[in-house]
Amino acid sequence: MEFNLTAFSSSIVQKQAISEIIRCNDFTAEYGFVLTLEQAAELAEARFASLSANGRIEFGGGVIHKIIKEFCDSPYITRYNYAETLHELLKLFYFYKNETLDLLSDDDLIKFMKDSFNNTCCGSIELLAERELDKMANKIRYGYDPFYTEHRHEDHEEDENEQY
Amino acid sequence: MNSIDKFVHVDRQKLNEEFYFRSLIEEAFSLGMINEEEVENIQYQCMELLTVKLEKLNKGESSSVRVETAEKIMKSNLYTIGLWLKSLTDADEAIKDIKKTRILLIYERGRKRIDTKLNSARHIHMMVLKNLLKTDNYTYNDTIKDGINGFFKIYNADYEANEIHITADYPLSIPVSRLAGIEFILKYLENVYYENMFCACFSSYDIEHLLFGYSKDYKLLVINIYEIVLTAAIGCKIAEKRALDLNIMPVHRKIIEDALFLKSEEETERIVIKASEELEDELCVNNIYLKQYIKNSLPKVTSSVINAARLNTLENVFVSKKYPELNGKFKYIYGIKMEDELYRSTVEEIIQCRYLSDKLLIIKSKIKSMADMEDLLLDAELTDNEINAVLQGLDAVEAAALAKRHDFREENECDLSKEELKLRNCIEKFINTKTDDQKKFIFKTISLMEDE
Repeated sequence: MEFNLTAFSSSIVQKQAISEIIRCNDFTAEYGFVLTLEQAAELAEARFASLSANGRIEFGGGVIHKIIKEFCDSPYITRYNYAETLHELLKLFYFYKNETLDLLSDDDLIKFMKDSFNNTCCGSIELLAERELDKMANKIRYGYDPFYTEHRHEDHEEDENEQY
Repeated sequence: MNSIDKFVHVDRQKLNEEFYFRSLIEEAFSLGMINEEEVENIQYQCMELLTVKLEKLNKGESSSVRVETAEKIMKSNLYTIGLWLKSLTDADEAIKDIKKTRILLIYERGRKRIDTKLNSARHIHMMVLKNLLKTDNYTYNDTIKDGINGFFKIYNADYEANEIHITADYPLSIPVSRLAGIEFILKYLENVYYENMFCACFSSYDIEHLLFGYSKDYKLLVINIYEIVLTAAIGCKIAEKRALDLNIMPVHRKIIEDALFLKSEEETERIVIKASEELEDELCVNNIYLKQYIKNSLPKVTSSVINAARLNTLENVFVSKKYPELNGKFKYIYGIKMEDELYRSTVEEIIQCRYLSDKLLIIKSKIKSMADMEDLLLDAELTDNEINAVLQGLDAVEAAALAKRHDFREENECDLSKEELKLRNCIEKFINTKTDDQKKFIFKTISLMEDE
């Protein structure tokens, strides 16, 4: 008898994930986004592949529904790139969960991704991955606040100098 | 006529003590006591338990974890479940319990059992510390005091129940095997407790001298003290003498050698067992658990005795006590320095004197310790001849003590002051004027003096 974690997660949890993705259609239909059962299955499969690639395990539906709900109102997502963007976001999410040493909660990471995607990255997944998330993960690894900026640090130093 | 049911039951001996739950399920499944559906149900419940534990760990902030983390927690959960199942009367009872009770409930019972065992371990550790051997053996002190305390500080019963996080470096005569987590520590402490109880029958000085006889580096060795003491005590009994002083002289070893001469392995074993019984009588060992512990330790002692008798190396097994204080180093006490005020006035007085005889008179009457003498030789602006005259008044040990601090054989002259260099040269000249025997004595004394 084996208590194989990955084998377990692939069967029951997969079905659970698909049904959760389909349920999200009720919410996203308002924005014109609806995923077919096939697309939902692909997304669930992509999630499983990302989890395995990053050496992680997830029980239940996981974070897909959170990502869908958070990004469905993005001005840079259209019905043509909706499914593809979700795939990419999902991959990035699990990769940066590891890169941030699990120090950031799911909600905070998704929020950071959304803010960066909609603002500084102007909807570019490449910029989000290579620049914003990478910088943020570096800051976390060096013990800084994820939203810490060098400008702020310099300003603070200037203030201190003025005091003298 | 009623049909006869085939009676199957799980053999407890076949089960793995460390991975009890898993081995129990595997064994029961192979015997057909549980079917595939039931096994799947158990697996599913274990996963449910894991999900609950992970949620607690993440405080609901993260839905995913690294696989290693999940596996670690899963192992901990299975260990805790196994701990409860072990407490049931037998393995068949455990299978019945798994079938009728939810895994989450079994886990909670196991968790409570860990708490109980943790309290027991704390209590035994307290008793062990009360009965601690007075020894300078580093591994013993480090493991029994600091190591176990460290375990109690970092043991995580919720998520790493099967880990001990420390290395129990001090080896036991009967090592703890096939156990993990709190069970390992509990058994380890129990064994240490009985070993200490046995060693407490002897004087700690005798044990220290015996260990010194075993090896002069015994403080740094990773050795089991109880085993060395037990072997020596058994040796005493074979030599038909009292064991309490653990004193085995060459003459006793000769008696042992004669007693074991041309004896078969079985006969040697009987001799060792008889000696251990006599030992228990002499030491008035009444505790049945200690008696059992000694009995379980005997095979190891017997095999080392058999080997030693065969190879004619009994002196390595039945070691003689040695006294480090007789041939070891000694500490020279330089004495207490006089009050600063008095010292300053004495130095001033000596500097003011014109004649050497007056200076020597003052030194003789006022300088009472070697610490002051050394300071004076550096501060009183004495000439080479005057220093030599002062040195002439010292005995060989005092001269050696001074030479130890101002060793002219060292070459780091650049760090020395002018006065120190001068004194060093004077000491060198002074020692060179001595005869070869006197020189040898001084150098031997210097080498035996402990570094400060």
